[in-house]
Amino acid sequence: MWMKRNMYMKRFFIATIFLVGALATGIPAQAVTPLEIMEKVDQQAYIGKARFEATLVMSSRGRDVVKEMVAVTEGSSRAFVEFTNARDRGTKYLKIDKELWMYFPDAEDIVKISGHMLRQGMMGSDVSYEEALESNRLVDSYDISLAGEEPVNGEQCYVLELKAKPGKNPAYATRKMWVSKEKYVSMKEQLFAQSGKMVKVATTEEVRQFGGRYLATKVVMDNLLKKDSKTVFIIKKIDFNPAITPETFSLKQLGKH
Amino acid sequence: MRKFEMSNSGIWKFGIRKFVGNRCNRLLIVFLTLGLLAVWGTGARAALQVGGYFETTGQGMFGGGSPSGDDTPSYLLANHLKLRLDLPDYKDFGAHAEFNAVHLSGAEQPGISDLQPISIDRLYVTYNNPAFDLTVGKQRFSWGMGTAFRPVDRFNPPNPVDPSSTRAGKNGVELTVPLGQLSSISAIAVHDGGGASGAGVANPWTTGLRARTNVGQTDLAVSVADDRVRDARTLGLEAKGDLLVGYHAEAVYEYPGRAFDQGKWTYAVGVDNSWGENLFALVEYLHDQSGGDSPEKYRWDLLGTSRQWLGTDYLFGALTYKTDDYSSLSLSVLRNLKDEGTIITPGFTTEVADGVTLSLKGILVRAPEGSEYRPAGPLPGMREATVEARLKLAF
Repeated sequence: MWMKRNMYMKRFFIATIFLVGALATGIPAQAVTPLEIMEKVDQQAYIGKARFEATLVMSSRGRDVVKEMVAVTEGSSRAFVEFTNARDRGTKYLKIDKELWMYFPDAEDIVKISGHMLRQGMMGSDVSYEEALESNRLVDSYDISLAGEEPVNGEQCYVLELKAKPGKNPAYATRKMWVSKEKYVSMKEQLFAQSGKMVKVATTEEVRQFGGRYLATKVVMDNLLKKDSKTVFIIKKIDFNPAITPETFSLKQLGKH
Repeated sequence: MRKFEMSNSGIWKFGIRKFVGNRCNRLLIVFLTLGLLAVWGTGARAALQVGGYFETTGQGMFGGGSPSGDDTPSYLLANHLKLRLDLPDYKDFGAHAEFNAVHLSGAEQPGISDLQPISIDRLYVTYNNPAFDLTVGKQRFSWGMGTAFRPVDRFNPPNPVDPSSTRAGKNGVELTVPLGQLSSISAIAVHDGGGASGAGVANPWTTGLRARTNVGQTDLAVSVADDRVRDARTLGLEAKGDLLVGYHAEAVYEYPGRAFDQGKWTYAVGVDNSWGENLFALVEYLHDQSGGDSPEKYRWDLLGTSRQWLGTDYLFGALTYKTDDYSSLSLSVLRNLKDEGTIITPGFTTEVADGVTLSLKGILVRAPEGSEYRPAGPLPGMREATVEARLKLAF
């Protein structure tokens, strides 16, 4: 159920993550509890399956690295990502539940990613594999409180504070999230380490409507632990009803020449 | 070993003539030409992807170890163009080709100066459908889960001195039948008639079967191989998973045959871990019962074919530290634990612009005279110190 919860982190790399986290339908704003707000975000964020084309722009020290990708996702546990830009063409990722495999065309080999490697940034981005693969719903991992209301990029938002529940060990100890009152899309999120230090900030710069859904189509992740480092994720095209076969999420597809 | 003392144009004429003169290469050229003609008038032409890189490498070599016995410093300059053509998924068919053009000048160096000026790394066609995948042609076959040591890989084993280097392609066929998302059975037949190891062998084929699956978040594989070149039959086991740190293990049992009159075990185990986002470490240990426990017992005739080592016990360690988003420092150590030969490889890699990579590397050989890495007599060895700068432009 990793797709349902983590709003921003997921959105970045495995396309699945981005989409799902960002999706939300227009729900009339009314007096609701913090838990209800979060559950609505989770519920609206979940989609059964999708295929999308996206661009990833990683900026560091004044240089931009652009990567293009196509991703297919099904439910909350399966994702397949293939990079299509010239330099990374053929690099593929397969995620099934909490396991991840990669295929690098230069090595011509399928590699299972070790658990500790999940803490590394995916393809040099500011989003780790672990963040992308996080499966627990935010409402399950955090105690949620309403801290007020503030506008973000012209959107009136609920301000939610999330604190890790005792016994839970999510990727971040606390979070602060600004959720659009109209669209139930997270417009901004601050992520804090156990020490209380803010380590990342995710900001939604563009939201588009697809049928009855709102989707964050441009999200910027600032990594505060690195100087001048940020990752921008842009969804260019999305299909909510792609053709998916049993082969789509398999090592056969991953290692296909 | 061939020396490069002719003019540039002579090198190219010599290289092309030699390349075309090889019967296997002629067949590959015909194969490729027919393939291109077949797809040229179809929609597949539009899907053709072209990529590759241009790489310039400069090497300085110092100290003992020269094949000629001359210890004076020498240099080598290599320009390498790799061209990749890829035709993915056209009506269940695909094709892939990789060509190399190498221009060398300077001193001879084992493993480099004997490169062919023109060569084909890969040339294969694929047919994929839900029931099976078939790949026919010159390709890389990949068995094993280790980095420096893959004893189960009898087709394209990595070179422990440079595990990330491109593996040579082999002519053969691979048929893979999926048995679920994470499980499959592969059958491989590799023809080694064009290689030195297969020359003169009546039936120079290596065949194998490998079943792969995932149980409890651990990748597992079991394989059998019949190597007619060496008259060897093997049973292989592999595992890769997590136990606090990442681990992998593989073992091979070689049944008695022409090469050995008793069954032999070879196994490799490795662990890897990272600290923070910047530091990564890997350690692998290899034990090979069929190796020589002293230089006098080394089987030099087997080196470079189905194995990349001669002794019984080895340790490989690699450390990588990412200094920033574009650069990293690395250090790897390979040690033959019995003859005490060691190869130390420090390196630095940085991406100077998008698609342009600069690598600096040193290769330091500390080995007793007559050992695996510093063999006595005319056997190819490595100089005591090599310094290398490499500029790579990917396109």
